[in-house]
Amino acid sequence: MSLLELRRVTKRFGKVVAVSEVSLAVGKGEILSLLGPSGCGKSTTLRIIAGLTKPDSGSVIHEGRDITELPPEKRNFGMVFQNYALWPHMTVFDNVAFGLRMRGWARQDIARRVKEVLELVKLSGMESRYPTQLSGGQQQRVALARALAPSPSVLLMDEPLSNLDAKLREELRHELRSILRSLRITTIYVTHDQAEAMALSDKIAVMNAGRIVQTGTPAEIYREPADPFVATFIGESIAVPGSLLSVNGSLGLIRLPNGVQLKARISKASPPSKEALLVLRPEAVSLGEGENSLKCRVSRETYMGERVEYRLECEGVELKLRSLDPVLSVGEEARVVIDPSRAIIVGR
Amino acid sequence: MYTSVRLALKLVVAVVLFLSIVMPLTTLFLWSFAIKWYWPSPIPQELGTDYWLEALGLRRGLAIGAVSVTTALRYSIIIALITVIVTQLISIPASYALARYSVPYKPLLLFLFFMPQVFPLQPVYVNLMRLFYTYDLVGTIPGVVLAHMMPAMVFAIWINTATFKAIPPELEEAARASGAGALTTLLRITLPLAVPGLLASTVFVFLYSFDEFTGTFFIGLPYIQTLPMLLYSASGYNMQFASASAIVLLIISAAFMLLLERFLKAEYLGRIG
Ligand SMILES: Nc1ncnc2c1ncn2[C@@H]1O[C@H](COP(=O)(O)OP(=O)(O)O)[C@@H](O)[C@H]1O
Ligand SMILES: [Mg+2]
Repeated sequence: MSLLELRRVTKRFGKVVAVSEVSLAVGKGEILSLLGPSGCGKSTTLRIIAGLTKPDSGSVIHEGRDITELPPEKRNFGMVFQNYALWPHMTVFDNVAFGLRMRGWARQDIARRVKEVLELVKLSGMESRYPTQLSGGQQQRVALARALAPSPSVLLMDEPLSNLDAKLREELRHELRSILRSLRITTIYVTHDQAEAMALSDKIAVMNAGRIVQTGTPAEIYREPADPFVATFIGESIAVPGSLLSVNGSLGLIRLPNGVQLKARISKASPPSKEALLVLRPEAVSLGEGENSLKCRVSRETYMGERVEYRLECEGVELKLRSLDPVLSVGEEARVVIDPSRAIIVGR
Repeated sequence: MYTSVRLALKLVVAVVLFLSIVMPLTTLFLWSFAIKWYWPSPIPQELGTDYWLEALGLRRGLAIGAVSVTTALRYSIIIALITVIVTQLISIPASYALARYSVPYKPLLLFLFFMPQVFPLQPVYVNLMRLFYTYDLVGTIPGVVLAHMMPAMVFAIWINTATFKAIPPELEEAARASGAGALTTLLRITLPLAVPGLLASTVFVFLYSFDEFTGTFFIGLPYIQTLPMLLYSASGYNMQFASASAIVLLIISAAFMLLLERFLKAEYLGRIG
């Protein structure tokens, strides 16, 4: 049985439908990411779970109990905000101790627990600092410690790393992952960053325009996209519309607008339909001749350090090709093979 | 060359400061201690504490038109305190609502609210006086308090709304998510963070009421004699009493300003430092 469930939750702000008929379920100890572009309703969904926003319809179920009407302070969830939201008039200790005091913990227990969680987030010795005396990364660690201190039933995080610079973000992502795994705490993690979602979560729910369009493991989301949105939002995808001519097991034959016919794998999450979309990610494209190949001309070369990225013009279709070494030059002609097991067909 | 220009500038600033602040203050100070000061002598011919003692009610008044600074001061302080308390009791919750919630017709409400400030206040007070007569409020402390509250409320709501707006709602939401109810959140998070701003508006309203003249003149007379009223009526015939009242007024106002400044500095430094 799932620990937390949303059942057909809808929230409107005036004419804007922020969240539309969203249903999801999180198991105990599971890390679920809500992934989607900015403005798709991730934060609103999270705030509804936290009790900070009341849904117009639908319900929030926790341990089998309807908590839709329960105020946030009675839910025993921890929340981490994008901008840290630490209380500037309190020390690190008081920030972290706040939730414990609210729950009526004894003095010594509070001191012990605060020490424990500050150790967990590697901030021992910072107890008497004020939030403004800490760096952004340290502030977010305090925010995490504050949310974790009362051992909440569910941890809610709203883009906790997006105010940090790239390097720190990556570092904290790994640390966060190991902390969440070691605590086995049920987590709902909101992000617009697919790499973050992939690295952290057991399950990803992809959102678009207020709806959850697909839920699955990171591999399922990446390899078996349910629709054109997921297919193009995840990965560095190039999508070409076409029509599905025939299906043979897991492979399909698709005809592109230029008349070229290519073989590709049909996504398991998307039932085959005549109107289809061919999704080509760089890993599906390699230099070579023969079956399932296209004639191309190099239109742009980008040197990226560990690899070179070419932009190819292939019989009216734009493709990306990656290579470890510079092998082509701009204007040169080349043939590329499309790997049928890595190119994906989704219905549209 | 350059340094001499600077020196000249400094000199000009010093002279302006002297003429605009030090001179009037010195004159005021001298006048309050002058027993005799006839033109054209640059300093009083006879100095003494007689007028101060009378003004402060420490000696029975013998001089013509003797006034009691202490009585006026008491009126001023009582009226200012009541004005502050009532104004803040109304404006703090109202400002919080204005800062946090979408109030219907907010622009219209704000427009109506600021309307009286657009006109010169005298005609407003004359009309207020006619209105207050029908409710027997003229010449009473509640009447004067109401007259002071009208403009004071505008400033208080203005400052307090800005204060609450400057507190990110996530700070309150984080408290709720941590297990604090709405009231605890208000007492432990919102109000402590709002203290500097609320204190600023409190001192501002207090000083406004304390120094207010026009409204008190129309609504308070003849029974309510505040310090500014006293200053006004005394300055017509007794420079000594007027000077003494002015000095008391000045000292109290300056003390509040200093208090405000120190408190705000400490509070903000504590947060930024
Ligand atoms: N308090 C609010 N008032 C009005 N509109 C809102 C409010 N919160 C969110 N919205 C709107 O709802 C939609 C979803 O917002 P949000 O949940 O914040 O998206 P995300 O977190 O995915 O970026 C957006 O169009 C946003 O403008
Ligand atoms: Mg958001």
